[in-house]
Amino acid sequence: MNLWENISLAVSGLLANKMRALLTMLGIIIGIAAVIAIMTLGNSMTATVTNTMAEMGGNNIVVQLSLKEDVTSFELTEEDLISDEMLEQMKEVYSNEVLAISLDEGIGSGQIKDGRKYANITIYGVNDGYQTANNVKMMTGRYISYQDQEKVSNVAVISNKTSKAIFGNEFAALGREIKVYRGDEIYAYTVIGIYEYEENPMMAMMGGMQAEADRPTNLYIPISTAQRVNDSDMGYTYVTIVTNPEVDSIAFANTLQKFFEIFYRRNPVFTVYSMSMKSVVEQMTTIMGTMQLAIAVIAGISLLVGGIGVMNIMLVSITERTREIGTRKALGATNGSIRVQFIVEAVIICLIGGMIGIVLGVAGGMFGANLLGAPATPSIGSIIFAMGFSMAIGVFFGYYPANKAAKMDPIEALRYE
Amino acid sequence: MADEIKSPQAKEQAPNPSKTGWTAAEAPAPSQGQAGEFLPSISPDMTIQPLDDIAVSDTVHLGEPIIQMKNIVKTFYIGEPNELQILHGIDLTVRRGEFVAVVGQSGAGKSTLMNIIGVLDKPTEGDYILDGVDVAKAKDRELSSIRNDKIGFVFQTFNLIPRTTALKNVELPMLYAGISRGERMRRAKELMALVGMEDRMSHQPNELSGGQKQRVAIARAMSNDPAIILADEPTGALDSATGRMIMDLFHQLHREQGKTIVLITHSNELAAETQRIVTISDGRIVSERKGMA
Repeated sequence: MNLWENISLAVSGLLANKMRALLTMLGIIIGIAAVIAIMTLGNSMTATVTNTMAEMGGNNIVVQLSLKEDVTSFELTEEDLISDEMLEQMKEVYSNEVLAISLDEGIGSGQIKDGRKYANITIYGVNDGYQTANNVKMMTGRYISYQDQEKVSNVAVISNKTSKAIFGNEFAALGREIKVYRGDEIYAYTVIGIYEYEENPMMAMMGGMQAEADRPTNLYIPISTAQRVNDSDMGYTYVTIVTNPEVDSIAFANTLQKFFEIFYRRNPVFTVYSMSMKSVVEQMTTIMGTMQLAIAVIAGISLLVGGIGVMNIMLVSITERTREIGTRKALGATNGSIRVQFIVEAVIICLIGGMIGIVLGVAGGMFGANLLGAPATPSIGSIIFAMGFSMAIGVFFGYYPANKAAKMDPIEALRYE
Repeated sequence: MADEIKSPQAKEQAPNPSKTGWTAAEAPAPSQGQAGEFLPSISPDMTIQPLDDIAVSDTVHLGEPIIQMKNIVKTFYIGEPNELQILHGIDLTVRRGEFVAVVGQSGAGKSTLMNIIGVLDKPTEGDYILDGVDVAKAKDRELSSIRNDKIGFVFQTFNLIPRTTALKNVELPMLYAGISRGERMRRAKELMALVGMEDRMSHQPNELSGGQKQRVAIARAMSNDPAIILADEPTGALDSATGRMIMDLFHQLHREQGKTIVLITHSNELAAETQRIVTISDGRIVSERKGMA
């Protein structure tokens, strides 16, 4: 019996029982839609995280203070901090590997005000290496330099967004003085450079509640100036080290760990912990993958239940159509052609369900991704997989009922009331 | 029609009350005259009219047997110690072009015999050669193709495939025979015209009356040009007028197409219209008589 005849027969059978067909497909639809939505959403989230991390610096290694094992109470003194001397030594020893050292110290959030105009900012004290480590793109002027740091200058680098908010133009702030309000303190800085602000998709995901204009951008001042403002110790709780592109940053993170541990061997409380951004990205990707897999397993259970539903309805269907099966056999249908007929029917149910599920899943995934502000990337692979998988469900769960139909005794079947 | 060839004395032999237990009132002959309006050719008188010459010329090789059954025994096992023997050694020969009726009370073994003739079932013992094929030795797959190729079933309950047009129903046996789409369509349309259903081809079974369904079923039975048409109580679910039309159709197919027809019925009246009446009772053939045709 011709495949096309089987397909049209199955479709006309489904159309005759639309409600039943739809309810039968529901398990498959939900399962496939869930898988596709999760894959679409997961893909776009992974892409976002990876991009963000890469932007933040794929070659960065963060070395930070950490507590030794079994330490419960501590007091942080200036001697415990990572010192400029340590960094100088590191720079000498690893001159080939280290491209830049980035230091930063957050001071907190504030506001630039000029009459009724304002811009929300987050203030960071940074060194000259920060630009390299964080990929800050200058639009005009220059970034914080080593000299600024040495002279403890009152200079600042602001975003084009801030410039526009205060001075009406993305470039107009250069060389002008700004007043920064932080709590009840006011600082005055001269703008030496304007960088291009980029909306961070991860921040956008989390800060979605805030109006776009009110979202703070970073304001950079020399780290020495920041330390004076904070009245903080001379040293750092963490540093970011940018490696040369050809260096294996994951391995170099270990090397640095060992290097810094020497300084803390005698320290009863503190040691250092070093990790590369690359390994963080890898960890994140692994976590996302695991989550995706876990949800996919749950969706798989839905598919299994859906498949059992299909099997059930096929069993009902062959019982209802016992006489038809008997007639077909009397007219010369072989067991094989009866089996193929019912397997095709089960496959058609699953395929139609699968296609509806794919449409719903892609729509759901894109909607979810949009909501998170992430680019939606429906994966072609998972769509093809879903089609194949739903066909496989049809064959698997259709086989038993189809075989039962095929093995019916034609005499019994013809006599069935 | 075959009278001259077989047994010239057959005419007088027709309804024999003493053998069959018929009363004179039940005798079939008078009931057939009125039905002549539907198809002029149905009257039993026709057997001696010119039209019959065609049938006679068609059945020149009437001697060739299509069904040869020898000592067919069918036993059913119901649990280990019990066996139920339904057929006790049936010998039956049907020749090409014959119109034979198998009659008997319910429980006489008619259905079992029909299932064996129709190759739906195999005999426990005995030989059955259908159109030169030894059925008893055939495997399941071969049985399917024998049914497809050599037998045209007509059922009491029509058994058209639901949600499938009349034309598609007629195409079905050809589909299983692997005949090409164009050829199937062509032949199905031809057969629909033959049974007078050319204007109902795209109707579904639930849009047809009982008589129309049975016509479609007959067209379907003819579709692979089978060696025999096996009709099991074909008028059983129809009112008498419609049943009459269906019987007329069988007569027409027999006469004009030279079809070999085996009619299974409990009605002596219908059986009497055929050429030969085989009566079975309690699993045995108890009589074989000439019919009116």
